Amino acid sequence: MQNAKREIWEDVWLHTQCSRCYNDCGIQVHRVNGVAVEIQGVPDSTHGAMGGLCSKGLAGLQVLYDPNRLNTPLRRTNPEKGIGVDPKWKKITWEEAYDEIVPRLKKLLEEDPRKVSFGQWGGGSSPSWSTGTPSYLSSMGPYSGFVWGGGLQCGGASHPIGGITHGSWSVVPDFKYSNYVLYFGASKGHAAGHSAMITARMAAEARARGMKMIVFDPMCRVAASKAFEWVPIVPGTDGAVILAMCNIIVNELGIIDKPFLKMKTNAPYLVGPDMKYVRENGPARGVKGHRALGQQGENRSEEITYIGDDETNKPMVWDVGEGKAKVYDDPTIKDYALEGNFEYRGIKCQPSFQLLKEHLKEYTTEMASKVSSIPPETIRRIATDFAHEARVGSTININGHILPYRPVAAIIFRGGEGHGNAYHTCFAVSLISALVGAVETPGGTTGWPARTLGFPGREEQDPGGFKWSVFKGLDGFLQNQRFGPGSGRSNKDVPYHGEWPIPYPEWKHQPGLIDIQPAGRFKYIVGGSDRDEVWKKLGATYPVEMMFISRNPLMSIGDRDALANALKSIKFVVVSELFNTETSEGFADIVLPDGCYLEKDSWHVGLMQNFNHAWGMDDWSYHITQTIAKPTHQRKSADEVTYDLAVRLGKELGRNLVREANERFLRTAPISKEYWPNDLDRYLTAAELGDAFTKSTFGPEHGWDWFKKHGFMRWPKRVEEAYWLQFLPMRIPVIYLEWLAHMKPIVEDINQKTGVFMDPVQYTPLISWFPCTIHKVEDPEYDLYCYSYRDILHSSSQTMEQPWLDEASQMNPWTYNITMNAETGRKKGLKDGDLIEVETYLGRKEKGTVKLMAGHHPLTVGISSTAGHFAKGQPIAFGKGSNFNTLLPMTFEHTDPVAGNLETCVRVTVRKIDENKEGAK
Amino acid sequence: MRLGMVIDRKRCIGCYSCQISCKAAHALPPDVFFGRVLVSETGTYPTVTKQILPVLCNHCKEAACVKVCPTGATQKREDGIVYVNSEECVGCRYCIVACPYQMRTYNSDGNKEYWPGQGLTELERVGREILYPLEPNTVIKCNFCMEKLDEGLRKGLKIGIDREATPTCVNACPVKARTFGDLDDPNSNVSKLIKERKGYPLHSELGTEPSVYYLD
Repeated sequence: MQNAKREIWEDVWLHTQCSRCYNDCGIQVHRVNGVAVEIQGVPDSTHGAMGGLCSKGLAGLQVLYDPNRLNTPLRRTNPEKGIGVDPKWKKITWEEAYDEIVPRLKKLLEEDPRKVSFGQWGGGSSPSWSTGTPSYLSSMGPYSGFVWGGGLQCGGASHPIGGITHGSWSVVPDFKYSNYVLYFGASKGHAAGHSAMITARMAAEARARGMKMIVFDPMCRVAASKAFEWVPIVPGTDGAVILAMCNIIVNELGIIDKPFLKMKTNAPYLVGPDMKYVRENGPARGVKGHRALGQQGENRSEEITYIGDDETNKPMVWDVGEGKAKVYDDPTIKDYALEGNFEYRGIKCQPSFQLLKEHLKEYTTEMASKVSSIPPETIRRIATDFAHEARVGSTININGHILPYRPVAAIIFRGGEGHGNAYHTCFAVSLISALVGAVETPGGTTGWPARTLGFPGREEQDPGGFKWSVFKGLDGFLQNQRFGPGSGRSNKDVPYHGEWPIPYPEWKHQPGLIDIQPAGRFKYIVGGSDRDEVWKKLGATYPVEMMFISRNPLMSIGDRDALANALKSIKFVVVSELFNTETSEGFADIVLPDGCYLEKDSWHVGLMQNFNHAWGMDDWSYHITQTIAKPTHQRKSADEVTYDLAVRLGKELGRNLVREANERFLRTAPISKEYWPNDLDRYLTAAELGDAFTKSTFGPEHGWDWFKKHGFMRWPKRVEEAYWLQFLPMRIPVIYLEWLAHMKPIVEDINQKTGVFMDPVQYTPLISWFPCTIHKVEDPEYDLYCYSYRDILHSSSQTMEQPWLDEASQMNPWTYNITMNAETGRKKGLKDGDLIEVETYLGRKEKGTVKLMAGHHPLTVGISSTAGHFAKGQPIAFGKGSNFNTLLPMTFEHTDPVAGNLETCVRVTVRKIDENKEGAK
Repeated sequence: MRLGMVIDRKRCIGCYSCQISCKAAHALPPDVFFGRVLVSETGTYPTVTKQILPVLCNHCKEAACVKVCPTGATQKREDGIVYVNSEECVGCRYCIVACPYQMRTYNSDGNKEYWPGQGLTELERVGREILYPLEPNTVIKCNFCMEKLDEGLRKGLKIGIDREATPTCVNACPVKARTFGDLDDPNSNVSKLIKERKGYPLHSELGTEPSVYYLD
């Protein structure tokens, strides 16, 4: 040990929240002499790994102290923009930056608010959504909210379907009780994905207990390596396999949970020859509603019509007991018919389940085997094991409540979902659980708990900060009060993410495509290579002239050249970031130095349903984020920047935008009026608002100072919260997607009038599998399926700049390599370390070093995460690995025709290239 | 007492938290690791097993490094911890050659930066000067966080039970794959796990009698 030890004047551990990915785990930070030197988890909190922490979280110190952090605002002086163009940055002051921004902002908002985009602004360059900015943005007026960034590849179909079937953005097995679970291209429970640390600890306990995971994945990655069985699969064929298993369960084994199907789903709803529900008094008339047009906090909405009908015209079911049709929730119903042929008001009709049962017969094991490459006996065995393990009819006693016990689950995420058949494939996954009643019940498939009754003892006082629920919505189906990213904002009146209810498609000439494809929210279009052509067909124009962004879309979505064109088309781009990125260096006019998550306070983050809360009976926990290190240099969080803009813009417009924002904050959190600060005309710090929120929600003795000291509040979950579906009367429409029958003729009409093509075949209410563009490439040269996958060491596009993560990335065979099946590689004359070029059938190319693996489907090529960085602002990440995303076609054809999410796989050829001629990366 | 660790490979997900938490806690310079995660695969398609093996100093009962150290710098404590007294270490590196597990590193450059050419950051400076100063030109390795264990014992805490008396990598593991305790006590957490789950050390054929066991 060295003798010259420095004097220690501070040695403390402080509670806050991580923000290296969207999960916001509780953490403790060791601060010595004002310098944060170590991070660890919080043993007593359920929001995280209960003591442990992932490597990304541990490496957060190297975000805080990276010498490449932005320290002053920068102004581009080179008028030319583009990939690799030197921006010739000039350091400017904050006032100079605001002088550039505010007059432009005022002019454009007055001309047409859609000219300004706050698509993904704020968040400290972490994907954490719940910053304080939305309220200030809302106060500044309407604006465009197109999504840029990796979110486009995220659960465009799985999130809305999670909402429809589980009241939740994310879905996992009920790890405490599940015994047999099917994973389709998902990494949940393996240090990546939604609630990564919560699922990691829960999945590990489940494995230790003996839970068997069956992982369908083209690659033997982390989840597959922990599995009881890895089942290699051709990308995009998951739906065929699931439906074949459903066929076996329904038509061969006959193991179904009839009480569940009758009482909790739309299985008994009668369907007429027009494929629509037969209703009490005639066809559905639709229900008027409003849709928010932006992403977060936007106060602009439009009138829409939801598919369905009000209480005066309910869907009908057949009561076997009385031999007559009744409305679905008639209390006199003795028994619901699931099968048979009936007639009501002269309309011949059948229960939805009957239609499904017949339809499933198309999905033979042999057909599924042929497309997926999975042996038929494997499909048959897994289906049979799943059905038997479901233990249909069994119950479990949890704290005195006798609940159905269904210890099987099935989940999907981007690997299985990110294809042109996403909407149906995600519903197929929901269906297989629903058939055996394994939905929101002990052991089954579950979402983040969608119901809280409030902090014990404060149930009556809490105005809703920690009191939310799902409820019986249109046509008796599950509707969410709170869903999607955002804080306490209620979604009761403004469904956010395409979950229930679903509007009719309408051709309103909107550039965001949400009008023509309302079943999903995330669209590729703004960065699409065919966007001008599509917009021309739709008679839509992209109005955005000024964009505020805190993401790196150039690297994180798809075809880089198409994205560059899109970014170039925006006249003025303002970026708030921690580091310069490929996007900021190529296209920003102004770059603002953001504060990182260890340099700010927040009370919002812990408030969401999403990401924060453990599944099943695990306790609730609510954490705050507190400043560990004060921002140095001229760094300023995007929250504060938005406040500064609101002040300056308010002066110009003659409005008190600050007061408007503060009131919106307090109202939407929501916070009891008795705790509202007196003076609403000034900047209310996160600590002030947090003090009001925590006192309002947890009682006056639990203010901000209490939380700064203790870090978090933890309280027991009730059975009625954890397994809410068993206590509430709503149903889930997972047996029959009736709304698609309403959409189909409208979509066909839009196709005909505009020339865009949304394949109407996929607008069938019967859950189906469809081949996608990746299955239809005929040129034999492009013989391989290429995709990306989550790396356990990385999240989003900024984790490659931290040296500790870089060291680990260099030590494993995957992160910085392109991987493929060993035998396939050998046939192509490749060996480990060869420089290869991957070329798509559309001619896009990426280079990298190859690593041959046994654990790889022979028809596939994998490229990890978001690598291949070339921004000068991130020297550690520079030049390492390959970027998969740039290979992805960004065209309408490569999307799901219902949800609109991007196909995230592409057919390629692989060839060895000469390092000396081509130049290694 | 013989302190040892059990690593449950059924729980481990290869997240590198053990490796990186150790680097943070000991302010280790670039390219120096007291613990690592080794990744490979066995089998042929489609019957493949991804092998994830977290490794660290085995604190061997018959430690090769102790035997070859010419100055007595590498010592074995009564609790089984093998450590380097850096004041005695002359940097001859015999131990590095002798260790069959490649768990020792020569600390040649205490000023090596994480961001090359950009100077030492505050994190590196405070880490290396206060948090865990390392003697340059000596051999360094995992010592089961013995400073922390000793401090914990002084506070009356239980080793391997209380976090402040438990090695950092054990605490950092998000899936609780690591357990730390007394191998000599047949009723300890580690002894029970080894017995119940047939724990095994790495390369037992070398006769070094490691104190780190693995469970499959």
